[in-house]
Amino acid sequence: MADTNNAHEKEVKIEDLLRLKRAERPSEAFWNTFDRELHQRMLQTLVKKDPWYVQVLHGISGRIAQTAAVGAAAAFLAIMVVRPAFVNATATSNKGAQFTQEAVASAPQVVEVAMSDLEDLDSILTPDYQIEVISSSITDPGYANEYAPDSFEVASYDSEVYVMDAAAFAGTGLAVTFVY
Amino acid sequence: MANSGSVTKSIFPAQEKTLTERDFDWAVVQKVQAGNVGAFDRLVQKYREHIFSVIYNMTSNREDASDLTQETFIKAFQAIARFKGKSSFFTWIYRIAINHTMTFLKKRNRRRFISYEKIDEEVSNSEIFERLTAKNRSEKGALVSELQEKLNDALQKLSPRHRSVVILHEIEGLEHAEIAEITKTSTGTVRSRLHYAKQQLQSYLQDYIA
Repeated sequence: MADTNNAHEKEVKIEDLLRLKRAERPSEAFWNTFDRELHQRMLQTLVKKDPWYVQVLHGISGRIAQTAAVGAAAAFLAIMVVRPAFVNATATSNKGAQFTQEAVASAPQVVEVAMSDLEDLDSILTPDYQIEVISSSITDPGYANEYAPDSFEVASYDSEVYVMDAAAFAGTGLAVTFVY
Repeated sequence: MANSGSVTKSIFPAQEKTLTERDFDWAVVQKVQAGNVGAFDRLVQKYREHIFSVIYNMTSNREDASDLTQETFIKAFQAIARFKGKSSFFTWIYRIAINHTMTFLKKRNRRRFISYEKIDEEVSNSEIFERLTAKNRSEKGALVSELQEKLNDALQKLSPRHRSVVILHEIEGLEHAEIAEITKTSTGTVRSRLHYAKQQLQSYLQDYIA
């Protein structure tokens, strides 16, 4: 009797209470069902083959797969950023092509002329520009550099006449030629 | 090996586990890896009750625990070709179970459905219940179901990390070093979590602790 009282007086610890959880056990019938279900599920896993991409992913380690995913995301972003710029550039070049077509359309018609007709062309045509030759008289022997220009020609013209020939001429109205 | 503290009897005695059990498991694993699928059943039979117990106490739901235990073995079966035997099969399967249950608990979030397993009648005749019955002056049958509910409720109040350490140590009887290997933490972290979790449980269950 005294022993029983002592046992009753013993402290109950948290460890004692937790150990009672070991007694929460399923019945044998539960395990029979469990085994049957598990075998069925495992058979399904054996029969069911993963799609090729899942197999590939399994082959690659998780870290590599993550790196690939980040790379793909970066490539996607790069395409999304670069593509609009590419589209703008194409639009600009289309505008340039349109401008050239308009310029060709408004250019004067070319007329075929026989070579015999061109023999005395100089006497018929009068130049619409002037050429001024400026010679450099080098007196200083120290300056007798073989690369120095002997003269240079400056042609001045009416810019409105040459506007269709070239953008550079139309802009300046001057052409300079060095004669060596 | 770390001291098991107040645990009187380990489910897998440490020496046996490090030599015989580990070698036995590794031999079975190698058979499965060689194509003997049926050999896996031996591992299922050996560990199913322990894995179920861990998951059941983590979830407090016997149906969820049954599903998750099956899924744990299926996961292990699918990955067994990659198991190199660097750790024991025992820690490996426990790790799969814990991780799988943690993921499940995160998804389940606050939706908690409790369904308890029937408590073994032998326990109601145990010394602890004699003491508890005397202390609380209540009828034994009522006390069993009341304590079961309170214990499960208290465990569910812990965070999953703390809960898993308490379950593995106090219910499953694993040592600190083994829990550290399973949870991939240090033994210091295991001790710290265990200490905190016990303090919490003591405050929840103070009516039953003398």
